[in-house]
Amino acid sequence: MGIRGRKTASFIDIMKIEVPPFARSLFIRLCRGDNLLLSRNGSSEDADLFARVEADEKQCQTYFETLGFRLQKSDNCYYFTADDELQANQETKLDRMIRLMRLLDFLSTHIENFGEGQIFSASALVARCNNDPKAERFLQFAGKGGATNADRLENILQALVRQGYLSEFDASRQEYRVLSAVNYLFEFADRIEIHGEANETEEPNAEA
Amino acid sequence: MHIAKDSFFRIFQADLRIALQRFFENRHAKVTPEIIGEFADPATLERLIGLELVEFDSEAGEYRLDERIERFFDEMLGAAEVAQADWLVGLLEEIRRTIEGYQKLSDSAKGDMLLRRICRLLRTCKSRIQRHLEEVKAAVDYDYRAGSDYEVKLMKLEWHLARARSYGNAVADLNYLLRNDAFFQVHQEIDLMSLRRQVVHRCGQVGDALIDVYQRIEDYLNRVQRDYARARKLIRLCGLIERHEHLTATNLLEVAATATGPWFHEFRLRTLLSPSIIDGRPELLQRALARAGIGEVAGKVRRVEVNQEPLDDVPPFIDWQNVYEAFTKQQQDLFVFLCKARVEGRPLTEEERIDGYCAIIANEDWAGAWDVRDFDLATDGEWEYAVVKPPALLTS
Repeated sequence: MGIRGRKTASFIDIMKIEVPPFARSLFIRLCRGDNLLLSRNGSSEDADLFARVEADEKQCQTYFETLGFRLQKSDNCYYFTADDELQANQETKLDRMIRLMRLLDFLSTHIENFGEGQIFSASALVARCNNDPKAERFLQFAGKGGATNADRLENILQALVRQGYLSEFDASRQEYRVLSAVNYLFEFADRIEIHGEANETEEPNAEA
Repeated sequence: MHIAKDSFFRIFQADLRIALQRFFENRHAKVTPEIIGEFADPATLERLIGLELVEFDSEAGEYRLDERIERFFDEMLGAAEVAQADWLVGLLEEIRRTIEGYQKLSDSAKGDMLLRRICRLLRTCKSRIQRHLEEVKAAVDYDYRAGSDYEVKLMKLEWHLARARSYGNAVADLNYLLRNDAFFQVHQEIDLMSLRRQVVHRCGQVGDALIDVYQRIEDYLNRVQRDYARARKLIRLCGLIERHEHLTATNLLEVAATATGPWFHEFRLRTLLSPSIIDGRPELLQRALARAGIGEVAGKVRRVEVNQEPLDDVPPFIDWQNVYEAFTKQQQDLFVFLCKARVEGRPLTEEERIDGYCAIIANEDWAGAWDVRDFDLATDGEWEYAVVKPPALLTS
């Protein structure tokens, strides 16, 4: 009998699977931790765990596959997916995707070189957003509950910290660091295709 | 080089760019008021001074870039200038010329001098070749990380790639010369032999390191191009979302449908219920949540009565010690006494009377006076009770 409806694993296969020594800590980190993403440039514990998982990636994937969890690797980050995880309905997923694209657009526009490892200051970001109607509209849309732009931005950034995409680099100076987990978000942006865009970019060459 | 500089100055406003570039290119010359007209028109000059980009030194009688701006330019453009490999090409030519000259000479004294010169040139190559490699690496990293203009970055990285290639070619030429030229086959002086071996070894190391540099530049170029393309795409995509055209003009719906991972996780209640019930029977889940006090009902605001109760309704606190003392000073039995006793000006209720009767009888401090005696029983209404006389009467 398979576990949680996964493909049946033979008795011999199960017997051959070695349990990685860090399997327990990885499972706790990715299923019950503060957030569900393990970044290469996260805290020292995360970085250490990441290196250990990377060294034994195949064994880990096989072990968790048998338990019904798939260890997914994005660019410099790991996360779990499970067959029986509750899937949001189509409408909710689309809504979240739109929110994601707006968020990435906002961050890419207002933070220089926004990407893995980048350190930025929230106060500088607020200064850029003030009097920028598009940015202010986004903050009102995404930073619920805040009275000022700074509060709204703080809400957004703290939510991203909780979800594991950013870490607080220097709390006293309101500086944040972008974690590798953000590459997981970028993957969605890269997968989106705008119809007719290829033709438009080819036009100058065609004219030449 | 000019392309890289021009692209860098694009960070300034269009009317200031040319003047600033001229000031930077002539930073070592004296720009007097007589020739300032060639650098900028009076209005632009006034703006540059107002913005503190340029200052006028009245004592020296010259215009110059503000010190901070000049340092900034040096840092930004110096990194690009340092990566030029012209020095190696020049040295290589000089070595070739010296070898050629040596071979044409018949005077042995002059020949020794030229031989020493070749050794000196090789020493220069050996010491500088590694340092230059480090400078190339640093300049590449610097230009990748500094600034935010994708186009400027792309240009600089492409320029670095070309420079690194020309440097690699020059190193390869030097290596070929040292290995294959007849001069180095014929001359077996210990100094020259040792130097030749060391420089050949260094050339091999630099060649290997340059392959890493090419790969790094290529990697940076790919990243910049990818980030640039992504930023442009996101701007367009958000424009389509604003106009509600994202479903027809993009594949957003397909990507969303297949998307998995933490960003799309749905909240799952941690419970002993089977996941199939949680997912398939939402009404049962709601009932379970409501029972646990965290369902939808729990989220509703409830009105709570906070008015103070009337004082009359608050039951009085009865000090049974006082009641007992009063009981000992009269002659009726306890149950009858409690029927007549008054607290706060009112008789005791039936419940209070029973409570008082039990409290006094059960009190260990007072029970010593009557615990050994057999009590007579009496009735009062529906109550049958033991007749407990006051202790003074019992002892008398």
